Amino acid sequence: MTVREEIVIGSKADTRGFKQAETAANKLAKSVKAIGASYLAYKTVAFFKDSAKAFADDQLAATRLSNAVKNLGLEFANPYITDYIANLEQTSKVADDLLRPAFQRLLQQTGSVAKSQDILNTSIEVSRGSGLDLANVTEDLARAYYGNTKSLKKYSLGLTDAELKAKSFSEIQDILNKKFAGSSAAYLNTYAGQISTLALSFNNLKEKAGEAFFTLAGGGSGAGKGAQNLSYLVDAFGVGLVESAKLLSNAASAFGQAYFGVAKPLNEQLQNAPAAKPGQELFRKSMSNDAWLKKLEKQQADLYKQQMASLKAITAEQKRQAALKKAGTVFDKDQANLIAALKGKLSADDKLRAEAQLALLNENDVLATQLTKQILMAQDQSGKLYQYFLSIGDAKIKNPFEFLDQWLVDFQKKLNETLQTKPSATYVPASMSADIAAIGVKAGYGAGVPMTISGQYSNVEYPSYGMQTGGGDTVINVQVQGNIIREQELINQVLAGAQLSSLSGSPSQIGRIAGMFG
Amino acid sequence: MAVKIEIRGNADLRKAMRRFTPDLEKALKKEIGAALRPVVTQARGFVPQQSPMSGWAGRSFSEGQFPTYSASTIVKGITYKTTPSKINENGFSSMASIQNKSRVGAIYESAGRANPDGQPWVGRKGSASHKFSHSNNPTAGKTFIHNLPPLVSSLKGRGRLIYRAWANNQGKAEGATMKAIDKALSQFEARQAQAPLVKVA
Repeated sequence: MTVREEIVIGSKADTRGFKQAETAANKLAKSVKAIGASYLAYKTVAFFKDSAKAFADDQLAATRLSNAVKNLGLEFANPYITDYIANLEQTSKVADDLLRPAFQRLLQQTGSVAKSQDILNTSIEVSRGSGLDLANVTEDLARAYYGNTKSLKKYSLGLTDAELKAKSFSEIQDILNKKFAGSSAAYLNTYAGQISTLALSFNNLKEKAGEAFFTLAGGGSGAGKGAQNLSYLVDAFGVGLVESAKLLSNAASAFGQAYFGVAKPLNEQLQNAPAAKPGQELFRKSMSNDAWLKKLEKQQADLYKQQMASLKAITAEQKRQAALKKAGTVFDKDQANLIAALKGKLSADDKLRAEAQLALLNENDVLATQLTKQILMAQDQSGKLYQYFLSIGDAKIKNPFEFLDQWLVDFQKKLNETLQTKPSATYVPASMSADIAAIGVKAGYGAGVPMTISGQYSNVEYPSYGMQTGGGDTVINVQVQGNIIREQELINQVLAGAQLSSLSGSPSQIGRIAGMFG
Repeated sequence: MAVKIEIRGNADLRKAMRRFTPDLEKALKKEIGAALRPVVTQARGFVPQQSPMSGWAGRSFSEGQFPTYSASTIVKGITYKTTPSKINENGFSSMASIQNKSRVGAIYESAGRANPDGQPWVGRKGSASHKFSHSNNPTAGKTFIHNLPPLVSSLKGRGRLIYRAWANNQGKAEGATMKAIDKALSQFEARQAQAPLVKVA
């Protein structure tokens, strides 16, 4: 039975086991030489697989950064940025795999190459000093650039939340630079730093090996063809290691010559990397367009400063206006009256009306609309009044005298009809009543008797008729009180009178009379 | 015929003693037994007669793989050994040992030692690794462990039976055992020094 739990007593080393192990190792040693070649081939294959992947990843990261720079309209700066990254990698011993995404992030946030360089230098120092990875630190600084300083708390800058918000990005960056100055150099002197330096060198070697491998596999047709050829070779890695190893060993020696030049040792090659300039001037001075680039960046920086200044000025002005308006409300008599009314004893409806007026004075359309609705709903709880109010239309006020236009047109039409009607040649008055005739009243004017001289009774006997009898010419004297006017003048007078009678309010009446609305 | 004896470990010593000085071997076994028996007896006494939880008790026609509780099985599995063990992977062997050999005894002894609240639970559909609990009940392991007595720590390990007894013994059994081994070894060497040892028939 297998022993599950045991308390052992008197344990002692048994050399029989050791001697057996030594014998086994000796036996193994003889077979190691036989398997050594295959093992070496396996490790070589594994190295080149890693190298190919490292090179492909490196190319992808470089392409991403290049596209990001192009999208920002800074395509001209691509070669300088490539040099900058390479030099920064040498000085800071941070892999370009980390530098490129960080730089891309900053570039997208700031839009300026110079500013991104500055912030990236700070990021590297902070990353080394705080122990956080570069990507996180860069993200925190990129956010802080536009005012989101929440993520800076973890760096223990000795500032409260309010102080962090109040400070500008430049001030915060200065504090970070002071706090973490020299962290990168100190880190590189530590054991961990030296290990990371070695790892960086090895990774770069792999990338170079991968590049050479792709080129060699392409057989002169370039790395693209090499990648295609390599795909078939990768499939063969699992089978026939020795055969693959032979092929790769030839490629490895060719690579060695290609990378190292004329059989130079590896460490010497790595130590001969181009020296980088400290601080901001990480571009090579051999580049003739360096001054032009700096000029462009200065212009860009000046434009940005102007934009920020304008924005600040606009914001300040808006704040000032808002403050003035608010202060002015204290002296607004209408508001003061309304506030006093609200403080007094008012009914619920009156209170609503007063509040609505106050909202209108304060140009608070939202509150005014809300209170208006409450007022209308209080008057008609079915909501029909409110619906009618909504259907009235837009705020444009209609002409209150619009209806008069049509009335005047109708009146003129009727007047024209009236004036155009011709009277008959003879006047036929209405007939006399039978009752009146019975009492002996004789027919005269308006009694159905034609208005002719012969048809009338003598004015001698009946002088009230006023019409002369006798022959000869009839002379009619008409006495007129007032002025005689023409037809159009009569129409105009009537129209003016009609308008005047319809007008309300003395100012408009005066205005029309005096011709102010002409 | 004189024989050159090379003692490379416990097994060689005991073998040599059995061949050349059987009386010393017998005495050693007797003394080791006398030292370890009280520990074993006490450990057997810690085994509860009834199952600590009803679900662990045996039932008829059960096809489950997990061993059901049986006090007699556990008691039978708690023993001591006076013969040397095999060499382990590190090249060591022991002169004597106390063992809890049964599966259910080992479960009762050591449940909760690695995971005091049971293994991490993944359920039926999770990883098939034995490092996780695949029970339908997410708290099965925790409930099982909490129904057992607490683990007792000793210099040799933590447990509820043999380790608990060893802790209670406070090293007396180990002292007695080592004393007996040293005594036997010294007597063996003394005899070897006096005269060449002769193999006993």
